[in-house]
Amino acid sequence: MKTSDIGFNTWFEQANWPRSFVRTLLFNTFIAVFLWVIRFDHNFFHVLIVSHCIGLSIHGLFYLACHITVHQFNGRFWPLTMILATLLGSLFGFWLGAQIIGFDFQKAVLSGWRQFGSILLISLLFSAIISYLSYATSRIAQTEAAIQKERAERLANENKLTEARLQLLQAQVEPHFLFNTLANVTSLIDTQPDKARHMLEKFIEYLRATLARTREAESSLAKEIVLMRAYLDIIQIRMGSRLRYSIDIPSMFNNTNFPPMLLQPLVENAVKHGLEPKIEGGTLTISARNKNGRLQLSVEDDGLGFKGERSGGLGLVNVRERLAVLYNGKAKLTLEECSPCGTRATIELPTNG
Amino acid sequence: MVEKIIHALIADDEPALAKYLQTKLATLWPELKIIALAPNGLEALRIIDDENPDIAFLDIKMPGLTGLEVAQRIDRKARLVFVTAYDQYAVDAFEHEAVDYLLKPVTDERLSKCITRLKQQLATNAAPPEISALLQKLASILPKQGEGFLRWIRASVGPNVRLIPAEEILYFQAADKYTAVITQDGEALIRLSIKELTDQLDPHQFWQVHRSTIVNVQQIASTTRDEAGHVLVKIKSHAQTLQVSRGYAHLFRQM
Repeated sequence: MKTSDIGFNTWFEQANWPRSFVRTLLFNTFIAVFLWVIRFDHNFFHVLIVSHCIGLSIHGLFYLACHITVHQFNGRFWPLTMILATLLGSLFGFWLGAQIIGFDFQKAVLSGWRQFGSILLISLLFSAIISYLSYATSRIAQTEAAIQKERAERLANENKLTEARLQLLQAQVEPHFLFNTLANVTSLIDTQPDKARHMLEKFIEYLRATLARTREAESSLAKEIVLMRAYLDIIQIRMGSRLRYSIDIPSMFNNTNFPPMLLQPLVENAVKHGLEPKIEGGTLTISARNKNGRLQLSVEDDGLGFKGERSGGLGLVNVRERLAVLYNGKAKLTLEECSPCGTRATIELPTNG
Repeated sequence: MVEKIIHALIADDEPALAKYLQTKLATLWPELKIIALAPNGLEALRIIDDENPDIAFLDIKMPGLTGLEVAQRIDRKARLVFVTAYDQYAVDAFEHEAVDYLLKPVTDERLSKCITRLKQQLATNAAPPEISALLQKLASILPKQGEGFLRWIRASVGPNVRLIPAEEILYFQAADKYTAVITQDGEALIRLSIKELTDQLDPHQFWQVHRSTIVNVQQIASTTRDEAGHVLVKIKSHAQTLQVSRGYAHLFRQM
């Protein structure tokens, strides 16, 4: 009830009263014609005058009633006040009309109560139709405005989402990686065009997969591996023979769900802190195994390890936090030193079976 | 008159980029002799020491030694040009007369400018300028490793060496020659003493509360007092309470 009360208030404030006045005049004329057509014995001008008197007084009282309803009752009891206004308007209009055309109002009411009753009924019916139409059109306009507003809000939200995705993409495609890759492609174009093309293809593959991932909440281990392969291929062209890598994922994990952005920080760390700063380079291994129905995914390198590495680690804190949220404490990330050198990062999480 | 042949070294760990600069230099400065392509900082330093090139093109980020570290060690033996793919903070700082700074991949136009500058400097026959102050300034801009407080604790758990992030540690407890690192998952041992740890841990995150105890402030649930008036620290989701010695009790006094 409350919402319709407020709806009534807004309708009253937004209703186009001059237009509805013109509409009332048209309706009055229409009713007069209608009555005259079904009862030829009347004087058309008399019918017209009475009709207008009734219509206009309903209109006036209606407006007054609306005003009182909105300002005195805050929109409550509106059906009651509307009916009252119509009834009183009909009576007053009929009386006024009778005065103008010289009818004896009392006599007319008493002798022709049937005729009077029908006029009253028709007045009620038409004023109901008019008010309903006015109400409905304004409600349609209001609904449309609401839809427009919602659409604008949704667009704004979508923009925010796109922005967030771009930020995510930016966070993933590190500027240093981007510029270095492009610098390598440029330097290879003249002397080794095949290698340059290969590198660009891998880079496009990497960008496409990254972009797709920013749109999905879920990813699969297979997809993440494709992305990491592209990434490592690019790094391999850059580092030359200093980087070797192997990926060993048993086929049972082909359809395993895996959250996006969890594997990449581990691989990046292994390259950035383990292998890139090591003069002779080394090998990076990504491997998965099943441990009592849980997935154990390791990224291992034989690089410099965490020796003296005290900064950074931010990516790993994020991985830890995301694991905690996504798996409700049922997943973990451990970091170990490998012998004789290097680091192993292991994610362990429950699989979807 | 026979002109002196000018020798140069290119140091870059990414072979394609080193080769590219070599090709460009061959076109734009054919008289220049490239004596070597060094794949890392140590190699670059060795070659500069042995062969005394006139010019060294040094990549900033290299394994072994960074370009800046090489520069600091060669003591004005060669004129320097730093080369890097991307360093958003450093570019402005490198805009300096004493050294040049090239962005990879280097363009013909930019490289020509660099060559003109080098030729002018070499023509004066003066020794390379003193740039140690500049190098120090540059080094302070670039991200460093191995500084700051401990973010990771390397601890042995059975036969393995675990890396424990500092924020996951509940507290450290001295135990004979070792120190125990207590986390939610259990205990691990490290060889560092409590004294050594206090020097390396972030004092805002870790408080020493006892001669043999350091606690992670973020993991403290509450403090109480026992009958003797000692302050006791209760650790979040952990049964153990830790005693605070009188010397450190002021840390927990009400504000």
